[in-house]
Amino acid sequence: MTDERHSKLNRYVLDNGLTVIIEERPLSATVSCAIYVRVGSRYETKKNNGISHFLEHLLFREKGAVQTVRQIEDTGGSVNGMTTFECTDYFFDTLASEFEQAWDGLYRLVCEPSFGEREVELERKIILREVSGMKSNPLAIAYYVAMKEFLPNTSLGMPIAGTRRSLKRITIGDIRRFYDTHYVPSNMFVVIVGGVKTEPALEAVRRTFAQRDSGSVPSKRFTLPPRRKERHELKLKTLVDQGYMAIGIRTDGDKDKHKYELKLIDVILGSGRNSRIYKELRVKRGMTDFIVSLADMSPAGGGALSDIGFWGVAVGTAPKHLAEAEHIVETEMRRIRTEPLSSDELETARSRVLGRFAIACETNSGRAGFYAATELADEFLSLEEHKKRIEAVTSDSIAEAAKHKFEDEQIMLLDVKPARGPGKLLAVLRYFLFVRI
Amino acid sequence: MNALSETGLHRETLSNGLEMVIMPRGHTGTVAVDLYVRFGCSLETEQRSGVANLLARMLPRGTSNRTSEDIAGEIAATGGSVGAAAHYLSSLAMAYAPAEAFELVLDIVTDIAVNPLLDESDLEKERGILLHDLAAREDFPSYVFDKKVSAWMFPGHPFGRPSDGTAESVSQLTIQNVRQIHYTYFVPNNMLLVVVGNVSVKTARSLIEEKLDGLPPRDLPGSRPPPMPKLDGTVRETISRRVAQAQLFLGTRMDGIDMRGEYVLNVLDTVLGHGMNSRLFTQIRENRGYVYDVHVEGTVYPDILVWGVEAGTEAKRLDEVEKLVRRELDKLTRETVSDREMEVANKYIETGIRRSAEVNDGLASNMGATIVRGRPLLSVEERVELVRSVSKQEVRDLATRLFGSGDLHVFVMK
Repeated sequence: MTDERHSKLNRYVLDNGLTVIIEERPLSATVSCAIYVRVGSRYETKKNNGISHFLEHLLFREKGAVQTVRQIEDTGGSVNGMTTFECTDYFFDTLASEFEQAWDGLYRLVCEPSFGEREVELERKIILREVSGMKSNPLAIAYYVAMKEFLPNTSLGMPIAGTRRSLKRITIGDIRRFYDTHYVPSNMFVVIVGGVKTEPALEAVRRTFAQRDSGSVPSKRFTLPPRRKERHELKLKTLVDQGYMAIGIRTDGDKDKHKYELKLIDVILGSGRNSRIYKELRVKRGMTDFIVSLADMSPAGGGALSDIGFWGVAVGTAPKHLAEAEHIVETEMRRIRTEPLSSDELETARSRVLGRFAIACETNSGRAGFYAATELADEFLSLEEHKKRIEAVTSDSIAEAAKHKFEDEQIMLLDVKPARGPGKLLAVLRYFLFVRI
Repeated sequence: MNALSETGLHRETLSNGLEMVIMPRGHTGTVAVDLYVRFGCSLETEQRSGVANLLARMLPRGTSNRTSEDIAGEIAATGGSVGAAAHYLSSLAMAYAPAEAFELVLDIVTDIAVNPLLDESDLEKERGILLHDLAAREDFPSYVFDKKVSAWMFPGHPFGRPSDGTAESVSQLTIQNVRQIHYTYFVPNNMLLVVVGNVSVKTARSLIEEKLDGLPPRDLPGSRPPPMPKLDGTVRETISRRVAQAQLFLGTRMDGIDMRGEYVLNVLDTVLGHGMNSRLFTQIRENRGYVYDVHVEGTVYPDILVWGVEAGTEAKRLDEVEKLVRRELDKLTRETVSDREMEVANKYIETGIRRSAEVNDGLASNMGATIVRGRPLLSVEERVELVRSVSKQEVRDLATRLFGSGDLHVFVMK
């Protein structure tokens, strides 16, 4: 972490409700900056599924955007956007000395659009390309089926980019209404981290946003799929050569009272070379290199959502090893529930989490991402405060978390194997159906 | 010009031939330790393809001083990470950790590189994992496409093979093959140790000397990669696979370029294919909506450069996209780029250089790769200055050398 003695972190809320987070890091020659809007595919219906992502694309396409993107890239910066379930963000990295010009560009890009029919049609084509590209990966079909199965009758079960069907139906009017509802200062925040001075950076944000009214924050009541009272399994056969499985439990996302305990459980069980599952599957049995922790991941792989998340482990291995891998992962999940942690193991896990965090926060973009995640969770934290929360985790609190979370009936399992024989024909048909929706 | 001395960089070769580079950065909280060995996949025969990678995978599996559990546990307790890898020109053991753990991570990195167990049962486990991994990658169309393109561009040459070998070669490798590579190449006079982070030169130097100065040097075989295979005319190949989006690669090979040439290439690539205002992105994606992604890919090897444009599009648009790419390439050979494009490219590259230099492992890996490739080590300011000195005529000349003849190899997956 760059010398903290020189860093200065502040959070402001402007009169129109816009939140601005600025960390001044004088030893840095660059700056990372992002505008976040609290909207994503979770706010959509089956009919307008994909509209948040479509809008994000369109802001880079609309009439003035070419000039605006040029304005940012002229500073040496790169600019992009990203849409997830609950938020959409627009960001750039550039030389710190060029911040103001790049900021003006980003503001105009996000806040002064002029949507045109021609641009909407061109961007629709590109997004349909993007959706097709994603579907070239045979695991994508497993992912979409699993989402519908585990998160039924909610917008979380819909793809962020939308479907071919919904994308073709979205109109320019839909997009304008969606923009006017969600892109209001009280539903947005800005994060700036790097070699800039706080006051001029804040003034630049204040000046550009001054003309915008607060707007009203859209409703954020989501329907959550009910928790099942028994184990939930989904077994699929599709066009893959290897076997894959994901096993885990549902969490309460950002609201989970055990979220810091789960971070430690993650490094103890499934994340990194020192984790129990890695040692069992890779070191002892030489079964696989494909061991991925799903901790803190939303279904899309971003941060945990406001009220739901997953803790789990994904493994890819030869189909003949899949059952054994599942058994080992479950055994370890049971063990963390029944066997107390040694103080050494707790200390190692804590150091691991804190060390990773320190490394991730070396970069401006890493820190900006951390502040944004805490702001999205409605719990803005400094690095030091986050560190204290991790340090406060004890073996007793881990035992309590594991006892509640890792009960057998809470387990969700996705198992993907290669389709063989007549099943292969069915898998091919399903694939062709899939690429057309 | 040498601004490096101003950064406190220390470069020295020990009496046994081990080269060390130490860059103290007192304002940071971490340290990166990278130990390079000048043996990589480019020195492998087809039969032994993948041996460097298999050896690298076995390094953290235990040493004469530590079990694999010790290694994983000790590094985990620091919050850092340790690993090993094999590239085309070198193998590498590396660690990245909070600075206070420097002595421990240096000890682990040198221990796994110098004293690995290389046990036969571990080889079997790693082989099983690798074979599964190679099979699993076949599930991903982009991997299959890139693998085929390399094989066509470098037929029978190590650059044309996956750096971790093939299922056939990996199945035949023995523990003797692995041990022989370690015995022959993992010697101090074939090593480069790079340390970047919050550690003083005095401390780092004395610990490195303590751990490695006693290692005896050995004669090296003086191996070189095989000569580059000739390609007769241009190649046009198609891979048939069930994909929802077709892939296109138009590329070329040319003799290696010098360090200045690499900076010129970087400017050319930026104008053509990096960022939303690049020519390819604007013409093919923004103006026509034919692709989601179009970008430039280039790899500079010591004696050869492979370069091309890759795009994903509808199968029915392949011809049109190819024509558009060719038109943009042709334009670069006929006209010099504008002042504005040069200025934007310079700043874009400068931002990239400065951003990567803000992180110790980014800096360490840039320094290590630069030395291994036989390029002079430059400071951040010198690199930025070099980018700024590239002229429009140099960009046009390089474009003419690369694709002026229009003879491009074309590969398609649909």
